[in-house]
Amino acid sequence: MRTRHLVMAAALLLTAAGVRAQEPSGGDPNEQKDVPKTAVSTGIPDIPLVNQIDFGLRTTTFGSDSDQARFQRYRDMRDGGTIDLMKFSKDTSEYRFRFEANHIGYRDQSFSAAYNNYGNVKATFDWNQVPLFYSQDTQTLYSSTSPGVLVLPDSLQTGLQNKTTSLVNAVTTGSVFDLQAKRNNAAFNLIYNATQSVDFSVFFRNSDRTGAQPYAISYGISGAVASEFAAPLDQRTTEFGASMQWSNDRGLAKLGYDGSFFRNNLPSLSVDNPLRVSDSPTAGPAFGRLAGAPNNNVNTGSALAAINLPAHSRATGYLSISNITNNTPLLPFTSNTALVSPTLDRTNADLTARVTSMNYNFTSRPTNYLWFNARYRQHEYDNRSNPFHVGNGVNYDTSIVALNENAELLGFTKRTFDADASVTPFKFVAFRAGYTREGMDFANPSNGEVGRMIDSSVEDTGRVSADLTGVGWLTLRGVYEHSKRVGSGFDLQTLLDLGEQPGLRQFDIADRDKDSFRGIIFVQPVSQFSVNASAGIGKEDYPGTTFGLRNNDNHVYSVGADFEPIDKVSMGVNYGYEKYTALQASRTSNPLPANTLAYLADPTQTFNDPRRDWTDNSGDTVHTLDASIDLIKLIPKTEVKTSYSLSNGESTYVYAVQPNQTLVVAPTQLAPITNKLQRGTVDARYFLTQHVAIGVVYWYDKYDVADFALGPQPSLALPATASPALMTMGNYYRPYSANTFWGRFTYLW
Amino acid sequence: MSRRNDGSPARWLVTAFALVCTMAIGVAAASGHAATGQPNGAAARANAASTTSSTGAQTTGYVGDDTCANCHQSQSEGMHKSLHGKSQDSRTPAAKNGQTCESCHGPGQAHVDSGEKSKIKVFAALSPRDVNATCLTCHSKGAHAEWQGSMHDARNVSCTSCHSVHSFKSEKAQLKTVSATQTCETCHKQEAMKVKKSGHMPLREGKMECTSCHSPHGSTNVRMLKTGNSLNEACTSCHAEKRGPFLWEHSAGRENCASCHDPHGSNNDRMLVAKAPMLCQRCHISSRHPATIYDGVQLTSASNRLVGRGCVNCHSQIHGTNSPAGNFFLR
Repeated sequence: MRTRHLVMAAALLLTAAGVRAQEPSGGDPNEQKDVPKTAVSTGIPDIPLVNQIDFGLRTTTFGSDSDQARFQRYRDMRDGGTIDLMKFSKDTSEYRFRFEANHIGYRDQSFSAAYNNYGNVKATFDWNQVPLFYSQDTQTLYSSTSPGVLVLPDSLQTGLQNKTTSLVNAVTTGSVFDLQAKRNNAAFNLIYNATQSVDFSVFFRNSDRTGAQPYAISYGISGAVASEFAAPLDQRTTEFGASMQWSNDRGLAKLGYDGSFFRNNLPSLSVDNPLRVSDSPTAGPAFGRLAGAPNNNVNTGSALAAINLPAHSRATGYLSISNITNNTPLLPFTSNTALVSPTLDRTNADLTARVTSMNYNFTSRPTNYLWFNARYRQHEYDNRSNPFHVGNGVNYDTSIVALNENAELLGFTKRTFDADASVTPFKFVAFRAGYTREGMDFANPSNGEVGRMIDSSVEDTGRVSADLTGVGWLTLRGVYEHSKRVGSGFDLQTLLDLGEQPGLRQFDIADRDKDSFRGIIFVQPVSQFSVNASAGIGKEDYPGTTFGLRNNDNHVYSVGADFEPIDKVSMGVNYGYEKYTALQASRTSNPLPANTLAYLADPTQTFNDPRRDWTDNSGDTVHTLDASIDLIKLIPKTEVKTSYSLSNGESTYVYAVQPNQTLVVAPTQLAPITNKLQRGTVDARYFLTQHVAIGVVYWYDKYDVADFALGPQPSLALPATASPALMTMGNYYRPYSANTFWGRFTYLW
Repeated sequence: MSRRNDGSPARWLVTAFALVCTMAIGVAAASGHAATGQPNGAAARANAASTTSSTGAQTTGYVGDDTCANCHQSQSEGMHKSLHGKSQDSRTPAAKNGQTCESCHGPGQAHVDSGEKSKIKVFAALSPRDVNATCLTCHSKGAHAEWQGSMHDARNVSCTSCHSVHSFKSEKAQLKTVSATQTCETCHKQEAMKVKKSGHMPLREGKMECTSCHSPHGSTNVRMLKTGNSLNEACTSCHAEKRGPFLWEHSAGRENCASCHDPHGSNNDRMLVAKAPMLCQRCHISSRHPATIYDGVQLTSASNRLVGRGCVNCHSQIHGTNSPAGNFFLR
């Protein structure tokens, strides 16, 4: 806030200074005023002056009940003075220095500087703040007594525990607060050209994440309340890397090190249970405790080498080995002191993964007509941790359960082979055919443990493409792909152990047939006018899937045109249509009794009753429109830029049951979800002199949304009855309409 | 889960083989002779060096920059404003002692003598791969080291599809459009439309660009991702809190973040590819609540598995957790 006031004061002072700058100077009468650096008679340079400062005043008015937080989302649009842009550049024959700052003093400010001493050193520094504004009127009953500890008043918990207080009434007394988070990103890069063929580079990056994000915790399945709360964030990721690269006409070799270190200053989050003031061995804990995101370290060494070979060929090899560790102290199984927390297998996580990646590529263009490429890529994630055994576990801090299992050590190996060949029968046309085999092995490399319901899968993909590029008036691209994925080593018992249907397949690894086409065309019959159109059609079928995602289709089309009748006028319009559909299936039933395999053929089990099957057909339709008109000095000394953008989406979820179903009377369909995001802008600037411009900006933003689950609810305690099962913060999807006015003053030199 | 004990020796062998191959390529590149059939720029530079006298005068087919500028003034000015025109850097065309233009366009004497365009290398008349071969003569390392064989290379994209040497609009990278994102949107219409949805990365707000995640010149990662060696490594380079390894992990998340999220944008909360709980029900239909029809009846009763964040109201640690009691991602 203080910074913003300073910015406002600075903006006002600069405005005054800018006005003074237009007054006649008492200096050298021979000094030419308003002479452009380029010889343009209008006094306005055709080549923009590179240095500038842009400042002014901005205000936004909102329609009633507008969600101001969502309007701002990743921006800081508060009213006040602005220094929206400051840019300085110096270019000599020896070096170039560039500095740029945006939105100074606001939460979304950024600064960047770059220095290039030609042939010697290149260095850049960036500071970029990215806010994330969730809600300006979130409400909560929680307060924080220390970092990571969120408590409710004991009196409230007592009242709720004893049922003398109603949660529906209590939530209305919550304090209102802004829910927002922010990332501060700093990055420094340096490249030193040691010799003609040797470069050294280093980078350092740091990213802080602070504020809070919506999160939730639950205390049981029935009779308990899942509670949404503002989870505090205090995280930092620091990265450092160095590399040495040697290269010349023959090829290159590069050695590098990269380190990434994540630190979370909140190792756990303790959140009070609204319904309990004291721990109970049967009714749950007074508070629950979530593990915070664990600290982790990644150290990576990599080598890259490439050699140029005869016949315009090049072979490239790359190997990278990473070690990822997480040795955060483990929390006890439960925060419930009324339960005897089971003994931990070890006190720290002591988790380690080794990631080995390699990539070999050979490209050749022996003649002007032929190009081919072969690539082998392997990525292995090997979880090398010692097994963590859980004899007795705890559910919801409410009950001790016998698990007698190890935490799964998930690992996998992905191997991909690509081969592509392209012929160029005509200079600008290339026809390509390609093949890819992608194999996934779901066994953790070091211990062979398979964490999925299949051991492995192989996907074969064939593709053809045609590309006409490089012709000024026509670009035409099209690619068709067909792929087939087949899994092996299906483990039925794994599914049954989880209580899943034998016919379930998880779509990310299930057998799949996939077809897709993408095409785009640009036609520019004359230099002033061009049209473009694109189409994307895709279809995925999961042939072995009875339950889960069975298929999905997508259709995406766009058309657009650009028109520039004269060099002072340009306009463009683009319309896009997207349609995605997906069909998924399930069965509502009771679980099989123990020894499940034996009951799979038992018709008396609801688990085996096909009349309890249902499907959900989901669809997403989105219309996108972008249009712009720019008038650059059509009116003397005046620039006017206008634009309009629309994204209008509707999502539907339609349930269907079997004709002879015994499940429900009939599904009550959910209302469609709609999202309509609009923005219109007008940006006008008048150049008083070559150096001074004044401008006005107007933004119209409108968001219409209707979401049955994330839209406003009748109460923060849901259902709003005597026994709510969810306490929210009111972080809803709500509409907004906003009119932003901006007076700007620009000084260029 | 099943257990399979194999592969460990094979893995070491493969890794060792990979290391040997990588080193062999590097050693060969370092010690070998210049290969024949190199892109012509290397040869051009060598020729240029051999045919340039100490005063910069040309002797065999080269005319020098001043001659070029007589007819091509705007192109000459544009080039000299760019990094190509900085002679202080010995790697630039401008450092070629008066042969800035001819470093790329080849010797110009025949063109000057005849006035014919066909007597000099005109990039607009070259096939995309011929254009690229010229640029790659110098731009073959750093971010460009993986161009050959990249998706853009495979699709006949030329350097001049995106970049302009003489007339560029961007402040960085000499692009034909003002920003990198605008350049990408020219062809990647589908992704451009997704970015405009209500759930999106902060590209519209100018806090990111396509190049924040992607390397358009190729990379060792999939999908031309800039960082890491897998899609997840690219995502977790910023979202490091989801990197793990965790005591309890969500297998779909361990393998591919894009199974649930669409990084280019969606109209669903947290850029999910479908709304929860429907998304979760695409893989989890086990008895009781994962297999419930979450229809209007459930909405009326405000089921905490449908309203708000759906399944994540309880399974909030879905990306993985270090809690020993986190086997269902509740803690």
